[in-house]
Amino acid sequence: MGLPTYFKKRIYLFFLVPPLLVLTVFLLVPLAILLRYSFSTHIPGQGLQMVFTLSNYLRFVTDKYYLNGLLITLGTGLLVVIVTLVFAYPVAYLYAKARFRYRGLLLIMLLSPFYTNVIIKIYGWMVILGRQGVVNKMLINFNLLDRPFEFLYSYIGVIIIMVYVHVPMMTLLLIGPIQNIRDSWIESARICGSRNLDVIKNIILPLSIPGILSGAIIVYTAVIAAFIIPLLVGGDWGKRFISVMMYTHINVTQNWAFASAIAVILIITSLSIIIFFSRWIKSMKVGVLVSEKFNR
Amino acid sequence: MKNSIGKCSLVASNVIVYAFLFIPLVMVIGISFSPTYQMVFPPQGLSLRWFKYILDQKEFVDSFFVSVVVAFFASLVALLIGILVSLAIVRYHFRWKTAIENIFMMPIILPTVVTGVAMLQFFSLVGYGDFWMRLILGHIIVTIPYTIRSISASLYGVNRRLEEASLIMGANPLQTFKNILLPLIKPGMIAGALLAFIISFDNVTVSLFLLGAKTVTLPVRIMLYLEWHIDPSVAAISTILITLTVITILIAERIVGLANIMRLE
Amino acid sequence: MAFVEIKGLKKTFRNLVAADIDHLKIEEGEFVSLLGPSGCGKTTTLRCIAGSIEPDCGSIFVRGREITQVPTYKRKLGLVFQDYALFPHMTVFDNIAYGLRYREVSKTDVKKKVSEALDLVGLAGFEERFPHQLSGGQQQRIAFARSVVYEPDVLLLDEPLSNLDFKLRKAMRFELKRMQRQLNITTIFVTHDQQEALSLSDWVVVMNEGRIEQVGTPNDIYENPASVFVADFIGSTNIIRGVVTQCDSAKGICGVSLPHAPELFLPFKETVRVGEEINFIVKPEKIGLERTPRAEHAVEGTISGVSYLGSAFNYEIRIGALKIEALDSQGDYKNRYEIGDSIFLTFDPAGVKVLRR
Repeated sequence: MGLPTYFKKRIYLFFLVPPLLVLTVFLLVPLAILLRYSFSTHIPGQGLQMVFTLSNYLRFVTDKYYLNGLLITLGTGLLVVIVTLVFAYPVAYLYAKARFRYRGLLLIMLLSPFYTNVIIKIYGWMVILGRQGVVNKMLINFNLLDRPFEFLYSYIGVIIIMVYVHVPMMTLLLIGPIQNIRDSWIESARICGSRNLDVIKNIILPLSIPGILSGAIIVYTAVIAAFIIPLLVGGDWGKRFISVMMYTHINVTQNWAFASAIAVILIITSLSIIIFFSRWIKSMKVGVLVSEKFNR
Repeated sequence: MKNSIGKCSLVASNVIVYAFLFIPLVMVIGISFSPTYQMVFPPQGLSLRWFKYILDQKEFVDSFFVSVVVAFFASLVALLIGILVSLAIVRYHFRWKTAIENIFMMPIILPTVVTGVAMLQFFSLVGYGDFWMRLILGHIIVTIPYTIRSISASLYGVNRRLEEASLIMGANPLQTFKNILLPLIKPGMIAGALLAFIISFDNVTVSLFLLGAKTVTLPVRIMLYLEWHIDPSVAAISTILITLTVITILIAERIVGLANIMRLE
Repeated sequence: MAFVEIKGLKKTFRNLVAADIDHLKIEEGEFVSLLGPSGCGKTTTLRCIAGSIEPDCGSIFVRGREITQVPTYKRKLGLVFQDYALFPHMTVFDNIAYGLRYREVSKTDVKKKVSEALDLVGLAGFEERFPHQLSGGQQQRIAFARSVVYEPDVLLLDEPLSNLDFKLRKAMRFELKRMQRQLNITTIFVTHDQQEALSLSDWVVVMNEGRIEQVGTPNDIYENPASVFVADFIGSTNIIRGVVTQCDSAKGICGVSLPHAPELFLPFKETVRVGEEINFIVKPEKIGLERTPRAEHAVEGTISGVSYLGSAFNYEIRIGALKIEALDSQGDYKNRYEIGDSIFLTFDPAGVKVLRR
């Protein structure tokens, strides 16, 4: 059936003009400038030279320091996503499958940490893991340690805090896909005689995979773009994160050209991952899409 | 549901994770009542001295207002933009629709650092010196995707026949919009505005890049403070902020129903 | 000019012809049904009249005035949707009063008209309720009330009864007709249910693939379908295809040969040529059944199915490979025919008609 005439009126295009204007001027144009800067060079003391050169990119690609930084960022992302998944899945599963009156309370309990400021969350872990923190004090009290151990500014600290920050988001992303796994499928598997572990292995896990992957991608791109956490509590490892490297070049060496190049590399990496995995998930989803249609 | 072992392990794992999520926050709240500089949990006594302390710190109070003002105006503008874009996306079908949808979602997809850096470069290049506006604009960009998602979700759920009925009964398109459409997308608008406010208030990265001498938002201020001091004053601020967050969530639940917001995430 | 007139209306959606109407006339106060299967163009036509859809070409006239270019909200029409589309955020009162808001009616008049409308639909006192508090039937009646309260020129109904359960549907049919008669409002009713169309309408417009197949009174449509499509859609008739073998004009009987079945002799009113391939209908209730052949050209068949309807018997009869349905309301239970019985059929000329399309 066609759309009513009212809805075809071109006036809706005019609705888009102010928002597009705002977005273009304040985001797209800045991004274009960023791109342009990435092809220029920086001379210490003189600032930005508007030439056209690939020197920034070459520098990034040929210097082990930066390449390793990229690897560290990507690798950490993977680790964080895996651990976050392990934590988030059971919570998402319980919420998706349990129907009881106070389910809303669970959601509030999930959303409260989610919407709490990241600085507060970092501070909370500083309290726990810092040199004067709870854990160290306890370990010293029980004579397990002589001196406080630097949990925070190490790789461990970064991982823990990143996982902490992203568990709520991953949970929320998983709830929808898990809800699409119909109880009747699990029931029929049970009736056929499957034991719990088999049900998990053969029914629940395979059907969860598209949802897990979608959630994983979103969290992964967030983690590799992480800035505040590595900056504040990353220590030496934190400095190797891409966003922090970018920040360093802006703050310390004022090298906007190189920083822009790093930014572009980061964007391209994120987008490639998103596009690649989205396509992959879409091709997988054929079986599950059918079931999703059923559920609507 | 499942048999006992399965059920037990599921519930147990949930308890562990929820505890994991809450322990740092609970500790922070506990420490905020500490009577001394010591950050011990449980605190050795109960005192409000740190709350009094932060209220005396002009920087913190000013930053709080900066955050509130910026979040308020940013979410307002983001709301308007959200309404306009949602109407166009949901109601009108045109060739570049998907592309436009994706463009408006860009601030979420882009790393926040990149947004911050790009906007900073832009403002520097253009020589735009109004720090308040820079900050507000930055926050608008960052929150637009959320209001769009929230309002368009609401809009999709509105039966188109209702607008047809209104037109047939004699109301012109503007009256139809005001009397029928607007009331029905109110939940989406409220949820979107609240979400935008929270996102803006919590934002650190963009606020860091776009700050000015007088426009330091609260999270950035705390961050700067933490570089030199670690004492329970931050805990006090945190307690206040956590309380405000929870209250906002509860209000949102009352007005809109949280499951709605969740589906937008 | 008629009260409502449609000329040359055409609407195509991406190569699919949704509506193609040469000429349709409706007089004031008439109840006209647009009847047909899904996709036949009845709803498209209705929405063109309403103004929700812009036709590719053609004109629509109401009260002599052309409304094709007039925007929806200036057309003074009423429309009841299949899902009622009551405004969920407004009370029943506000829903009904909505149409009066834009027509400059004083507050006291509004109150008066709303309660008159509620009286009309039998829901007096429901002013302060909200739509979600009402049952399906009540919602439908409110939808009706709010569409007529501002006295539109034409009332359009888009399958309004389709969402109701069976019993409610039958009850609402009577209600609808009563209210329409009381208001004497010109009504166009879209449905795919031929029972509804036949029981409610003054005129029935049968549509197929965007075009009008037949316009007639319910009786016309039922007794004299103009085409195979109409006969098939209305149902409850036998549609047979065969070749004319011989014709006896004196007796007015022609023989028709059918594939895998003995020759049938039928009293056609129309002129047919020998050798012509024809479609024709035979009304089940106009078939005579006897155990012994009395008429000259009675044909023998075997009972292959029996349905007891209480007031009549529905027999399925096999003549060779041909299956015919017959409705026998004369016979009684004791003398009923059983499966396997041999039986002789005679055809009443009133129940036989040749279809030219």
